[in-house]
Amino acid sequence: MVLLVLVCVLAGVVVLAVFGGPEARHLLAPYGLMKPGLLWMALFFLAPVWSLVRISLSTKESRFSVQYNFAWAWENYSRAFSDFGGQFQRAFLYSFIATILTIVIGYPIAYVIAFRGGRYKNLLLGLVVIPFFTSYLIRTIAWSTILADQGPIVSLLSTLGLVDVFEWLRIMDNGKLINTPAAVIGGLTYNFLPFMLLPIYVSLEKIDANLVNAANDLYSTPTAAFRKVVFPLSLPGVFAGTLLTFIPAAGDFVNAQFLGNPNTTMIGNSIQDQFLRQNNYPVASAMSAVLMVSITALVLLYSRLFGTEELV
Amino acid sequence: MADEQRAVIELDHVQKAYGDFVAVHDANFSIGNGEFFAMLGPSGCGKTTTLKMIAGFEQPTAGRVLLDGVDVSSVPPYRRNVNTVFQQYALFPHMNVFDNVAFGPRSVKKMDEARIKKDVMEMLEVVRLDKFASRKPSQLSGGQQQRVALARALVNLPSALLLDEPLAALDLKLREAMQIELKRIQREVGISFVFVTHDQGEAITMSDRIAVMSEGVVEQIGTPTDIYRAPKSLFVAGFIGSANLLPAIVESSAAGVLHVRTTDGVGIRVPTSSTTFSIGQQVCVMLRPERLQPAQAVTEAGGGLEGTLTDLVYQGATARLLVRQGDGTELSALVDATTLPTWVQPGSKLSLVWAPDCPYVLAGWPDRAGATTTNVDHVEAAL
Repeated sequence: MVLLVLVCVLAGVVVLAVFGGPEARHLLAPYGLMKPGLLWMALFFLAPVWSLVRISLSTKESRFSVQYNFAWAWENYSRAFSDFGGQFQRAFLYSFIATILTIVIGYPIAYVIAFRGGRYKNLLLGLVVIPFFTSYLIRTIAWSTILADQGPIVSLLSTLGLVDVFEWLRIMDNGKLINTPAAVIGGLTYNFLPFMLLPIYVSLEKIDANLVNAANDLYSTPTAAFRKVVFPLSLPGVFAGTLLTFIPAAGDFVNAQFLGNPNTTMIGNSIQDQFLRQNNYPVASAMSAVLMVSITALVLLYSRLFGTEELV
Repeated sequence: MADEQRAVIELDHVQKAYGDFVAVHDANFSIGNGEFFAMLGPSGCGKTTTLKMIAGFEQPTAGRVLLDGVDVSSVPPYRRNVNTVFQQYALFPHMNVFDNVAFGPRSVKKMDEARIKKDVMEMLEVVRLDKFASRKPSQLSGGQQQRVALARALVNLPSALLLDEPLAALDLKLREAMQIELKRIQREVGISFVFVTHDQGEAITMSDRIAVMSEGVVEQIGTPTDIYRAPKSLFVAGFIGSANLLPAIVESSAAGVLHVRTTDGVGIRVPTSSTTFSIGQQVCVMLRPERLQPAQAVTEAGGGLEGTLTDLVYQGATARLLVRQGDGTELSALVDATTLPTWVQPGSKLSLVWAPDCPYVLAGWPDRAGATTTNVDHVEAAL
């Protein structure tokens, strides 16, 4: 439907441009330039979203059918909330914690590379990126080996007698490191670290070293100079990194699948399960729609709180 | 107001080396209270390094830096009572003009906010930017940013203000206006200004004293007049103003007068109080272009340099004459354009003559004989 309207509009523009004479052509030229982009968005964004929303309000003909009838079936949404509330909560909690951890880990690394990297800057950035030449899945599965019960980390911890400390920190559970919430969060943190680190690096790298000198010159200690000048100027990078990390992490299912247990599933796992195994497209679509809307709402709230327009 | 006798900044045999490269050799001078002091030299001469050592961004490898009589050689910049105006101003882009200027007072934490507000607004009035307090630096022009940088430094009432090529980023007209503005502000606040520049015109017009530096060495320190009239080295003679430098040999010396003969055989009488020159020594005669006058070669005999006028550059009140001698040496004269005789035309033969007190003599031969600033490549190489 929507697609049809869009195609009609585009066709109208083309007709106007061809038969409307030079004036119309002149007027329409800028919109003409947007056409490839508009067409792309219509085909690969609007049309899928439209179909997703339609299916989320449809009912199945029978349990095993793949035919859906549009019926304003709001019960799909109530099922999404009632049956999968825990998965939603975990998705947001885990990706929130992972985002915080990527800032805590990524910021200092980005800072050192940007300000102390010297001629090794590009090499160091390369080292950050190189692991990501391997597939996402393989890296995550590799972590399941590293964190396994007989794996190097668990043996090291038990040799050092730190298992109890880690149990107390709720990082380990019954002597296991794998299949815990901590493992899922750790996997998310590891996998999304570069998406936090690189934007922060870019915003730090842009800061003129003389600004730090100027702050020192105006009686600020290096720590105060960081707090008052460097950190505020790097916030756009933190903001961008947060979006690039939190949004995909909230919809992720790979880490929970390979590093978690049945009680650590995230909404991504449930959506995948409903789509591909239960063949329950309406509920899966409803969950996807809720996830999209809630992420959009969170991002809007976040950018409002952050006051992005105040930043440079 | 300012007791110029008291030294605010003293450099005590300061040296700065990076590995084998010595950026500053044995800088040893002091800057008085309320003085407008310029460090002048081509890029890479060590003037900015010297300034950074005063500011505390660099530590000397030998010698001491004293501020108000206290050795601060190893004191970090945030504990030194000097402030810097950076070359590209380095204003904090995320703060408005007021917060930029208040940055220093707020960092010291001794004053309450009401007092800070008063001081900041007063200083913004001095630099005539009180109407712009809530603007962001990006909303200001280059000259306004420059004045914010000045206010941000001066509001702290430092012992000395350090300025690193502060006018380099401005266009010509604005630069001239800011030179006057800087002088006015300096008189108003009475703080010593230490000014780094590669522009000799800027240094001469603004400074009380100039330190001319070349390749890490302070060649000469003195008032602009001293340095212009009596340069101590060939480098200074060539770098300050323009000059005609002629290689010569000392022929005889009598009381206060030296007779020298240039390499192309012209005898020149040089008044000098110096007794360090010996017969047969290689010297350089300096003739300032504005002291030279054209004369008709045929009628006036003796005491002049003959040549052909190659170019007459009309500059409004003055005209620059470029005269090529038989051996290819180019001389330059700066004359009053209104009284220029009509026979002075490109291609005409003439001789350049001077008053008896015009020639000045220096030890050593110049690299290039003739006028110093007529060759573009030569000027660019020096800068």
